[in-house]
Amino acid sequence: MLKLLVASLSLLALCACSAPTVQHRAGVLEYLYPEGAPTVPPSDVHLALPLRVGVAFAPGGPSGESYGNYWTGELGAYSPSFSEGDKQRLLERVAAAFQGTEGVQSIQIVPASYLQPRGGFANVDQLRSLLGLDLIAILSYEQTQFQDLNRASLTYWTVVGAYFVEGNENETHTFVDTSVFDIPSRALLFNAAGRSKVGGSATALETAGELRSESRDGFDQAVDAMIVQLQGALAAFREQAKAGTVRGAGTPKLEVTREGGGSGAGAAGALELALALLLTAGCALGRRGAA
Amino acid sequence: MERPEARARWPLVTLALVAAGALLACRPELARPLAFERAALRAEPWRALTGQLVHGSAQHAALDLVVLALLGTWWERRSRAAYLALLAASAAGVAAALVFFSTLERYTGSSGIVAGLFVGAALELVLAGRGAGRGLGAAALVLFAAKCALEARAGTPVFAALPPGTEVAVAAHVGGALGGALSAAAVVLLGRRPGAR
Repeated sequence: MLKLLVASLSLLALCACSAPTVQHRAGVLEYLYPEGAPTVPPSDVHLALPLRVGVAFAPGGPSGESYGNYWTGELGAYSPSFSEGDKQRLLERVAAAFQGTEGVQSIQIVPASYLQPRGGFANVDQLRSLLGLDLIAILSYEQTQFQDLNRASLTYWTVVGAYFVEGNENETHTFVDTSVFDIPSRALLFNAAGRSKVGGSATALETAGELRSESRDGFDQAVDAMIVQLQGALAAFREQAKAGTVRGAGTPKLEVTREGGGSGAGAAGALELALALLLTAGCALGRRGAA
Repeated sequence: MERPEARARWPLVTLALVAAGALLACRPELARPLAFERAALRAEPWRALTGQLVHGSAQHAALDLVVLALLGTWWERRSRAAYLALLAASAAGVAAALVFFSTLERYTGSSGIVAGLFVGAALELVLAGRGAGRGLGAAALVLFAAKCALEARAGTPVFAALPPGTEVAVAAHVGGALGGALSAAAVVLLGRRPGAR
């Protein structure tokens, strides 16, 4: 009987010390190529500049496992949330980073409610008709949050320790990827990813709030890293486009034309300024010589 | 060759142009009905000319207007009549190039006029100057031609910056330059040397 009691308590303690994990994700493949949908190979790409680009997060949500108990700060009560407000904020950051890009007429944030889970290209075609888009940049993400207990968590047994001692160690891994598709041809033009790792510690009672904060920080940092990569990918795509294919031999052909409707400007530059200064200086010198 | 009173003349036309450009840059609501918009040209054709004083940003306006002020003052103090002829020819060249040889829906900037004054000044140096002045004029013409070629090839401005979302309007530069060159050549060859009113 005593052995059974010790075994039960050990098991309980093990459960209490298990490392909880929560994950939420949204994938571009699940959105564009849902199970059962026919796979259509991309056709040749014709980009008529300037382009109208839509940017949106792939539909998704929490997945994976979640454990929780009193000793780990009721992690079970923590549900990972990536709110629409946070998504909008990040999309605005991405759009702002590419505002004014040559050949881009506008970058429009696509409201989340317009995207149907597993909607496929049929949904993207609807967006194209509705918003007049040429390209769509779809952001997918995966965020996993781990939690461990350090030795200080032993003080949680005193109850007071759960309020004041940081016995929980959190770690948040975030991966964000942007894939840019030409809607009419279904071709992936280029993509870029960013990742981040955020860690911290918290008391048992602050864990949920800390995890939410780390989740936001993780997305912020991953998106910042992704924007840098995306700018590089765009530059590489421009270079690749000169070869007439999307991503080299064997990929769809790419033709870029410039249509009317754009905005143009003439800018006087250093050359004109230099000559103007030389002429002005010449005049001044001539006047001085005459005097 | 140049009369003293001509040298002392205030560049009133240039000052008026720069003031108008600065005002339009500061008050976008005033600039809107004057801007070059292809769709509106049929009903409001003056936009092809007035749009050349409208700028896309304060920085864009500042650089264009500084160069316009310097080149305009140089020309106007030499001969206001020649300057007015050059301005008219350059502006007409820009308008014609934008309307007939470009598909741009919108255009901003005074650099087309500036290109006309620039090429006119360089040509005047070549045709009427001596020694270093002639060399400077020839070098300026070669550099300008190279700049236009590079801009046409790359699609981006050379030695300059444009407002976001706009492409360089090479046609406007070339149109203005042709207008300025023809006008300057006429001024020199027809005997209307700088200094004549």
